Amino acid sequence: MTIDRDTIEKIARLARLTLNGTEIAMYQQQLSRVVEAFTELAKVKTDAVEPMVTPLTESGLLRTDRVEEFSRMDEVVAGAPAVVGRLFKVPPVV
Amino acid sequence: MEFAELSTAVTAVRAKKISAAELAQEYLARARERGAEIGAFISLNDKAVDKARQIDHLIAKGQDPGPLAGACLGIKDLLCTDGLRTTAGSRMLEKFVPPYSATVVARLESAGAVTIGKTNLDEFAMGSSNEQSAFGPCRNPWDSTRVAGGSSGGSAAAVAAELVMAAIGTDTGGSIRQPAAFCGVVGVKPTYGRVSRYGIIAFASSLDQAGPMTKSVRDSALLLEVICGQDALDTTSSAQNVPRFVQQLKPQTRGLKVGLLKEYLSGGVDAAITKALERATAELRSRGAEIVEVSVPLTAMAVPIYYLVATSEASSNLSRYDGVRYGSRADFAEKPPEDLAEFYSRSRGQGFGPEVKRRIMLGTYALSSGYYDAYFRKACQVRRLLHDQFVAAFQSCDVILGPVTPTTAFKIGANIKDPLQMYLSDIFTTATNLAGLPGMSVPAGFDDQGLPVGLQVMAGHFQEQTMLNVGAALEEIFGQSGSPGRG
Repeated sequence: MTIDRDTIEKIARLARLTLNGTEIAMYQQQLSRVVEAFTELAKVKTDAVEPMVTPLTESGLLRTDRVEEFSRMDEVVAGAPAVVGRLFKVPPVV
Repeated sequence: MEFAELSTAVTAVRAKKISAAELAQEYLARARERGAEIGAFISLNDKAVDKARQIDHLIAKGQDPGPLAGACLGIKDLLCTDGLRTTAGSRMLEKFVPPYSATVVARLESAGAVTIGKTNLDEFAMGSSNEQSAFGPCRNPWDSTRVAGGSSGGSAAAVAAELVMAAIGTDTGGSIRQPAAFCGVVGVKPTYGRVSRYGIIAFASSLDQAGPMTKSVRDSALLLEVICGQDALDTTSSAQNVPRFVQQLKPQTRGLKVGLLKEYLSGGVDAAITKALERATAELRSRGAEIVEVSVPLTAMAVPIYYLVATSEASSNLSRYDGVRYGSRADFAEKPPEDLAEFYSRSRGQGFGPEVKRRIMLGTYALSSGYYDAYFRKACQVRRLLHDQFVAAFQSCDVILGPVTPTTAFKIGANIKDPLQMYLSDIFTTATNLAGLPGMSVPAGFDDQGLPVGLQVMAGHFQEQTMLNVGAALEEIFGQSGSPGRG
């Protein structure tokens, strides 16, 4: 099965990834080969099988929804690429 | 100052025969020198000796320093460490310094352990060779032309080369067990839910588990006791009781049913690995274990299921890296973005490496309209059938014994240009993650090139104790692998 170039470009847009021409060609070839190898899954009969999304059988642990003080906000903000005070700064996009 | 095991070093520290500070200095020096040669670490902890002094201080005051007093550990650079850079092996997080620690790290440090450094890994834990790290590959200490394995390659290599006493890795599809096998150390992937995932940078949330990588099975049992257990900060952590793994550890296999998985015995495995498996089987039988053949036919589908489920979850998990709040951002000075989508896309296109982008693309494809049913949903359905087949298999045996990998450590560069070939090398490890089962790699001698061989023990859900006991029996049979250059 071959994934065409348009599909690769569409997937890259959905994934929010800017790819150059070399990357698009490479992923087109590699993903086609991977997906081709994975088509054998279609042979397994799965009528009425509930999809499994986690191995956990217990119901998830929940904690009280309570507001807590977090005193290290400056450190959190310091990790951003650009800030003004405690605000995240981004280039104008409109 | 040589300690074969972490357990003996901790005993010496607690008995004041050696100070934790001396140990931290020694291991930090080793990590700095030899660690740089093999690429085992991404960052070292310059506060390690200070932390060790605090342990010594507690001991001097007669207070209990904890069961891991003075243990010098490597932590995979996927686990957040408060105040210590955490990169996930990615340029995207090159400058990320978390303001909190993962629960695993917090528990280890509360128990008296000292973090020596953050170990190398494939970017975002995506890889089977540690060649996908943005900080360069980690080399195998037994043969520096070969890979250490991945994704927890730095952790495995650091333990094998004795740059740390033990390390923490994470395992999404084999990332603890495969590098452990390649480097001749013990590596344990616990049952899904045993260990809190809080503060571990997410790759595939229904598969990821952290676990120990150690010289001995006893050391793994000791670390598991500390890191296992429910955590209010991780809703998927299990309430199951955590056994006293060390106290109950015994290389006892009399009366145990050891399963051999028919599908894992059909060839395509190096002769040295097959030979080790045959020897293990014969020895376990002579020690009173009953050997039974079991079958899980859908293991043949484990790699396709895994690479569809894991990449789909990854494509969602990694959507958080948008260049706004943290992580790297593209340089927009010369060409400003035309819209928000371009702002995100250029930052992500530059910040992620080739394997991460490949997996985001595959996962986005599997989840996209028109392909969702055929790929993601189908994979999740077959996953349930695979899970059910494993549960049935464990009705007729206590553990399953088999290979970890088809080969011993391969050459650096051998599989890098062929992603499918690299994915297929995960054939024996991915099934346990999909089914949520515990699995471990135990050293089983060497091949004729002097490269370590590992064997895998798998057990039913939450049956780590039985698995560790069989691991301890294998350790008696094969011995520990020692360290390169020291034997």
